[in-house]
Amino acid sequence: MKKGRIKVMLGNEACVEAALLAGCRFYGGYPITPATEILEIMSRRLPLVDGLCLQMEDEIAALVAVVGASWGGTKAMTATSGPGFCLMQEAIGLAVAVEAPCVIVNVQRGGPASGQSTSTAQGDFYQARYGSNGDYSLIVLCPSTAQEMFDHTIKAFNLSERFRIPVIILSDEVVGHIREKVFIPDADQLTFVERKVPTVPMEEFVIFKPEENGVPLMPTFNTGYKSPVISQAKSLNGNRGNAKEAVENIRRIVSKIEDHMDEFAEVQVYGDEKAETAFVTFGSVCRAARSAVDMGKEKGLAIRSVEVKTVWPFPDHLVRRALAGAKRIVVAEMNLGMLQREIERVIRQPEIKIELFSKIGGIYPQPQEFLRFLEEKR
Amino acid sequence: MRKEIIFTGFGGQGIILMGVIIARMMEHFPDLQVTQAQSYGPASRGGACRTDVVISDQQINYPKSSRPDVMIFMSEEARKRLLSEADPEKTLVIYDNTLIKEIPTAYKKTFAVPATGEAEKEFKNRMVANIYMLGATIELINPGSFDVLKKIVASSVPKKFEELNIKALEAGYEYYRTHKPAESPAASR
Repeated sequence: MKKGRIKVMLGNEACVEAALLAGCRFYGGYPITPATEILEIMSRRLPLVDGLCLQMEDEIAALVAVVGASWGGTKAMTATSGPGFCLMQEAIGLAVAVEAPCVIVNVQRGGPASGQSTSTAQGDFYQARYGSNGDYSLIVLCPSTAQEMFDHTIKAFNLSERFRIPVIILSDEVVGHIREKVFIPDADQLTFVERKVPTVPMEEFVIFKPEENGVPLMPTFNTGYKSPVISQAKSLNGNRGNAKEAVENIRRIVSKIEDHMDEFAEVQVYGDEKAETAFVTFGSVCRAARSAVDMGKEKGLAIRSVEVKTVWPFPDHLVRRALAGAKRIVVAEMNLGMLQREIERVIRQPEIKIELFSKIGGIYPQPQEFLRFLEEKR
Repeated sequence: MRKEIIFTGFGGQGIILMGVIIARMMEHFPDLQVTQAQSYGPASRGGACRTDVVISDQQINYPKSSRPDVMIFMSEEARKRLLSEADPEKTLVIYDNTLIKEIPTAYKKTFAVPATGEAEKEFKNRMVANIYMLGATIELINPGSFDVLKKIVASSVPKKFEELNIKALEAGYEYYRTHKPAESPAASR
């Protein structure tokens, strides 16, 4: 049993608690419902640990500041919601290209555009993966409880430092604004990953030359290592010029993540793992599905609920394994069918139709509705 | 055991705070889990406003109320909008009878608490009606935890209003002791 303490806190609060524990010392942000508490609490807490919380003029600047702080040698993060996440897409590409470790929280609300600021939604599923331009990859984690907001934030910082990438926590209004008990382990009970910095003589250092795991060493600005950091396609030495190296570099920033998915990919199954009926969910909807599984059990219905915790890169083989033997697959999500499309791609069995139980408009589905769906759509 | 409680009224009464206080109390009960969700947005700043609290000895999955055991109404508007969520046979309907005239007789389990009236009369401050109501209902929500409630209330209100709130809380508790409904505590599943 780990040592620590238990506190009742908001999902958004749990995120801050974990970030500070993980060593985050810079927050660049802009307030937006329903993510604002993260900025508010950071602005109170960061100065107490010699950190810096900066409210920028908008979300573009917020994430660019985070990228700068990251290159300055600091663990850095930001948080936002739909409209702000749109503005951040350019800088997400920048963070990917200059391989700046950072954490971006998106507490989803209704869209498109300003949408419904106080309502929950899961419509940014694809935007989190494909919102910026060009070929790239990143990691997206989906918490469903305040505890997972905490755990995933620790994990996000560790993965961002391990792979030198932006890691996105794709939360939503229900998770951000739920208050519940969170177990906060003592710092010595947790593992924290730090980026690897160069120790070779300065003249021998090549800035984007990867180590064996595909990730280059990362110097901190102003420590003497030559650090040309540009957003354009680049050679190993960080400058433009060598087209072949530039192409290799693009392949590498994708493969450094996707060749190592077994280090972080996570899919959970709740309920009867052999049941022919399966729900597939991510984020807050997992909780309603779990209750539906329990209610179904009371009525003699066997159901399994497959919960995709790391939605990007999509864990194809884990999802396939979790759904093996299922005859009826219902994807439940708060959008018009995004996870559904991934499940259709992964489960290619003509006899199985991938059904969609969808809620939009800020309506969080009730467990009874899952069972009604199973009955009515039979 | 899973107990679902809905607090509802209008924005500004401190409805959400009631839910937050009950949730925070659960830090003192290691065997109980709790979730607190709230209606969020313009509704909490003037319109009908609600917070759902779920207490359970098991892990809580669905974090909102779908079959409330207790509903606490603190405005007529909230009663009109949300009474339909109550089960006429099973849900204990508690209401501030200063602001709500009556609950239809179809609802079998009711408890009237003059929270706003007492807050105005006794304490010359209707701001403490919510705390009075908590005092009057804690035995029906989580029996035997008045002392913990007192501690959490004290740390949840501004220092200069602490004494006033504690007095209101105790007055509410006294009201419960002298007027408690026949069948209590509320049935739990």
